[in-house]
Amino acid sequence: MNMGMGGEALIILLIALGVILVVGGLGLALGWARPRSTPLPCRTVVDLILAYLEGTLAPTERKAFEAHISDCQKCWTFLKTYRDTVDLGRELREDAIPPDVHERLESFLRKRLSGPS
Amino acid sequence: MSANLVAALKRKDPMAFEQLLANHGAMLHRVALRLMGKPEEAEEVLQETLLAVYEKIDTFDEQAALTTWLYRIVTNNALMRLRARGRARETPLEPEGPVFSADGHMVQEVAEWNLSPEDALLRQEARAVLQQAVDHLPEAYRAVYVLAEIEGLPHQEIATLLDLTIPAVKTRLHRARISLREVLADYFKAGKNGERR
Repeated sequence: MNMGMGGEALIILLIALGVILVVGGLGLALGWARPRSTPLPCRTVVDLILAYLEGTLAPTERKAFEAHISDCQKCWTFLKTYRDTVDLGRELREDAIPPDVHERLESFLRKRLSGPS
Repeated sequence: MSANLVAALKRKDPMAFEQLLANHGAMLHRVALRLMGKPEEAEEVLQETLLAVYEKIDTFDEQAALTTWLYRIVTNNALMRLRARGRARETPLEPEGPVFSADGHMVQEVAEWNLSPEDALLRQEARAVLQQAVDHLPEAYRAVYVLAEIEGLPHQEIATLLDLTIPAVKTRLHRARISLREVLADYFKAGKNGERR
């Protein structure tokens, strides 16, 4: 009888241990115990810059990206100068056609389009 | 306004073509010039584009935007010319960008530059350097860069115009920017070392 009760206790202990192991394993598999954002290497950060600036990174990716940038001087500088390059590129837009080109094109139109086709 | 213009273009009204030039000439010229790199060739592309509008305006679907249709014509004309000219389409993109170690970390230092909005002269110089570098981008990258960065078209529209996927548009734009950033970094570095000015 005493042996039987001891056996039951052992079985209960083993079941409890099993449950702990299963839940723990499942938790690890689902990333409960992992840090929220995995550290990114510089190469990945550089690859993600366009998506970061366009605001299309997933929240966890964005967090990892920003964590890296705040720690890595090289990537921080790279991001800043990449941004400068984008801003400067947008300034290349000229909103007027040179007057001499406009004049020649108008004359071209008159010659080619006004006569019989 | 645009519907009236399209209707007049379809009637082959010569005044409508002058109006088209007044309304959209700057955009057409900008795209042609940035893609071709040479003013005289850009002007020829513009002439071809105006003729194509004259010949094809009847096929224009009025549900679409006239600007998008014009972008398609001018881009195609410029790219066809570049291909006919035999400009190496497979030219590699140079400079490529940062060098990474085997574990993905940046190997070299990244030089910082200071380009404040107030320094008009420096910005003007830097723009000239950038413009020249854009003209030297390989055709595949230049077309995407011009349409995205300078014209501000959405990725989807560029993908349709150039028959690319959206990820391909993003990759080319990103790589072009990285290459141009390197050119600017060299320019600013040279200035710091007293090799410029």
